[in-house]
Amino acid sequence: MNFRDSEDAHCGAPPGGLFRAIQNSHPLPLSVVFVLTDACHLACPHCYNASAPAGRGSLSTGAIFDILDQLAAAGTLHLAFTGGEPCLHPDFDDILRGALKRRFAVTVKTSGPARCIERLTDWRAWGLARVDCSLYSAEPSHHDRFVGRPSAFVDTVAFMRRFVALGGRARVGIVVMDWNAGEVSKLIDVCEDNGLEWAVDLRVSPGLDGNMGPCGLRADEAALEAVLADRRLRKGSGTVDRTPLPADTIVCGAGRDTACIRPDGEVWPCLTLPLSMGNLRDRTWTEIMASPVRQRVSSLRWGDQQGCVDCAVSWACRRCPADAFQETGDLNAVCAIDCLLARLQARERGDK
Amino acid sequence: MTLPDRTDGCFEPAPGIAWREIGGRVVVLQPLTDQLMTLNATGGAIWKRLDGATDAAAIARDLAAAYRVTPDEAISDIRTFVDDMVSRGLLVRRDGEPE
Repeated sequence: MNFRDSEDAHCGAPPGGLFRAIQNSHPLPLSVVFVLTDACHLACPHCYNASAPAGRGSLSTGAIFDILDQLAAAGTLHLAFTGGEPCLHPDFDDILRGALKRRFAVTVKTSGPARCIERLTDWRAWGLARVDCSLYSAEPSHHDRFVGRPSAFVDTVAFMRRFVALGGRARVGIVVMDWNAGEVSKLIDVCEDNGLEWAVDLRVSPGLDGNMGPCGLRADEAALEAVLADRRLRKGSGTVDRTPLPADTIVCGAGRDTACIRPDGEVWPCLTLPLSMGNLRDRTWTEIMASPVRQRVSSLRWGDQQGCVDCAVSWACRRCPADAFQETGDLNAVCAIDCLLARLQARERGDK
Repeated sequence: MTLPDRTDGCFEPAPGIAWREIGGRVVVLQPLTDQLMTLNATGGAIWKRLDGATDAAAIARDLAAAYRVTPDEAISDIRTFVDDMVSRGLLVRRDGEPE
């Protein structure tokens, strides 16, 4: 089973294939996630960002443009704007247009606020190709109650349908939790009926301040197994390589292929790994990319992970060092959710 | 009467097309399709000059000297390249009208 799309939904990573090959020959991240604001009009209980540590205020729009120039010069090709709700940034239109003029491939990760629907025509004309939104239930009232906003479901679906009608691509992220695991299949139906792409994310990550509350919403093993039984989640076919991962396998792209810029200019290895590599108020992108923290995170190898080298289902594992760090304080520690997901995915491929 | 060539005028990357020069090679990404291509040295040299303000003749003069070919050979290659990129939706004429 290929869960690359699922992992993309979690990490905000760029398309694979040739992109990865080019990344392997380039010393700096080709993909960057830019958290434009922590402000959000929704109140999703599972949000890792809701407890983001308070920073040093927000970057000015001028500073953001300067950062975009630095990223372009450093070869960054893909940019994901997220939040909070990125469209709530007072200068979002200017920032989006500025990024597209600088020839980034931009994805906007948004809830699709109703007031932004009328902006979509301009955004498409400027070249915005992709938006990612999340839906949590096929039942609108359940979704609205979870995110704490009436009509949120209708607004999000209308936003995405409009974007697709304008020739763009809209993808729904489906985060599987205890309360909605039984609805995932129906939710995929809703996506497909509306011409929307979808990606299932089996993870719920801890809060960025170490708050483990969101993890209490994780689906249990039986519920996850039932979700995985939906054959539409099987993106790949053919022979599965069950060779255990070699010790020198790179664990993930955090810091290496991707990095995350916070609203206050802090730079982290990825969206959910709150380790500061530096702040763009004080240092340049190139200087930050030489930080010891980046070197450490981007050089994590499979052989460094506790208990993973001898694991029989390592071939099915998409280990997340950020979750391990958040749960244990150790990037290399065993992380129960990784082990569970690897076991389930291996079982789904026929391993007993 | 000479019919206008479909590659006459000034061209630039279409809206939304992303590109960078990485390791000496121009990499072009069409985010709607995830189509990613790396251009060879000649293609990259042409692409970098397609700024919406420079026409094929000016680019040909520039590249003819650098690559030691005649301007006619250069402009022929540029037109072939532009035609291919336009047909892929990666380039548009500066007036914004897709070909």
